[in-house]
Amino acid sequence: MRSRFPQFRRTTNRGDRIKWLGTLQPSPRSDLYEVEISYNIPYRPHIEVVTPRLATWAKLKKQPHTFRDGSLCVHQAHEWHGNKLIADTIIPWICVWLAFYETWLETGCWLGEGTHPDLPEHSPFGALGRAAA
Amino acid sequence: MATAQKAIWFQSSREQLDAVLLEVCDEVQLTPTRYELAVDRYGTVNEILEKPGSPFQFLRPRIFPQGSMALGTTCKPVVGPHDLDFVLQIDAPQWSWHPLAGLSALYEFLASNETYRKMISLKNRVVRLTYADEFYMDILPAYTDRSSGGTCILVPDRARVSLRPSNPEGFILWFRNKCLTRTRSLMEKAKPVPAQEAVREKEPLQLAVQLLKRWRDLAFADECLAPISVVVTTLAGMYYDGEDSVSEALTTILAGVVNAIALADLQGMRITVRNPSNLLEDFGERWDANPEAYNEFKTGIRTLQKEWAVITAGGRETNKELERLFGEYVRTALVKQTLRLQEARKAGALAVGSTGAITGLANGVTRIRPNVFHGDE
Repeated sequence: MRSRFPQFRRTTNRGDRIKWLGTLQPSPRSDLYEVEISYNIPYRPHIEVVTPRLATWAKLKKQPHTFRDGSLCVHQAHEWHGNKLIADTIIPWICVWLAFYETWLETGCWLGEGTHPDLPEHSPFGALGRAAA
Repeated sequence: MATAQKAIWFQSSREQLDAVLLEVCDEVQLTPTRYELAVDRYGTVNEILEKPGSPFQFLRPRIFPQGSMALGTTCKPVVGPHDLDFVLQIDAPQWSWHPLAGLSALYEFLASNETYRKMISLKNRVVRLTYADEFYMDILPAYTDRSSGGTCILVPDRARVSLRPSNPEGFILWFRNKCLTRTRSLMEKAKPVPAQEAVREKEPLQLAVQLLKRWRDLAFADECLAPISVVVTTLAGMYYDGEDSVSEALTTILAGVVNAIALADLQGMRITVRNPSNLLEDFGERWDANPEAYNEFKTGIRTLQKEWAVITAGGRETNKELERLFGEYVRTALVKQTLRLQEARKAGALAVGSTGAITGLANGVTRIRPNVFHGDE
């Protein structure tokens, strides 16, 4: 982690539980996001955007591809296991999620695809409307 | 020429902002189909004016585009038809005995034509042909100005019942030359109708003018108070300083205009916007008759400069500001960019740098492996 993303610091390390806190900026004009990754071995890492607080487009109640607690779901269960490095997988996936999130927030278009395409927050058309798109 | 490729990732905030602005300009300009339609229509009018029976047949009529079509700065109006401006230049010193003779002759001749009869109207300086598909063509009849020489012409003004000095061809040359200050200073002869450049081939000054016109169209709800296109274009050309980037060009232009306004205010005057190729023509003269329009312009351009400074500072939130200035095309631009990002992701061509910045595959970056976003239903 330190070699790939030196801005990430371990904030907790209790044997089976590790937490990292660091910043990510997916593009030069993006916001700078402070992200916390909690890894309770052997469960999937829990990803939370600490600042800025995630917002929603229009009147939608949640962001695309998130869990009920607001944490990010950047992969399917079979795509990650404990032998994979978080720095090689989870963090790059967070970066692309953030990039798609920023466009979604402006346009209502979720363009990163994923599961449950019929959910309103996953629509690739958003404000542009299906016909216009 | 602005040759920026449609980038997927960006090295700097300026580069990323420029990419959005290029996309906006792509949306704002005349579509290639409509551009070709305009060229066809102007060709047809030209043929009719040269045919036997035309009062212009022996006066060496020459019709050529002026304004946005010739300058490469077309900008779709927010509402209403798209206007395209042409000059009909005739070599007829014997007609200048009456300043409106050419205008009347053109109107009467086209009004007698089966095709144009229902489309024609007479304006202060031009004969207007209104086409059914949200499109009109303004034809300005003009005499060659032999006393001023060069490409100078005299154009009619019905309100003043006089001929006014002008030089649209000289203006086109001046503007094209200004565009080229970035890389070269070759003078280029004005062509009958330049092929419309793709946005990515345009010069930063042309793009800056398109954006300023788009801002003008959205910011001035009352058309009578909005600065006319030639004023916007001339000011942009005057203060452009050869920047490679459209966003930097806008910054420089806005600073130049705001400073000029401040200086003029100190002297108790309005800014001067003369045709650089015919100093007798003052593009800003409408402001003398409408001081409220000048005050609105001053307020508008100062506000724009402040808003623009916020946008160039960066941050995701500034996309909203961009949308406020240039309209819904900003959203379309973001969607297009993000779709390209998704295509690159699917192709396995993306990586992230140490700050989390998405980039291409290279040494020292982390490749983005395939994944499917998931989450609760």
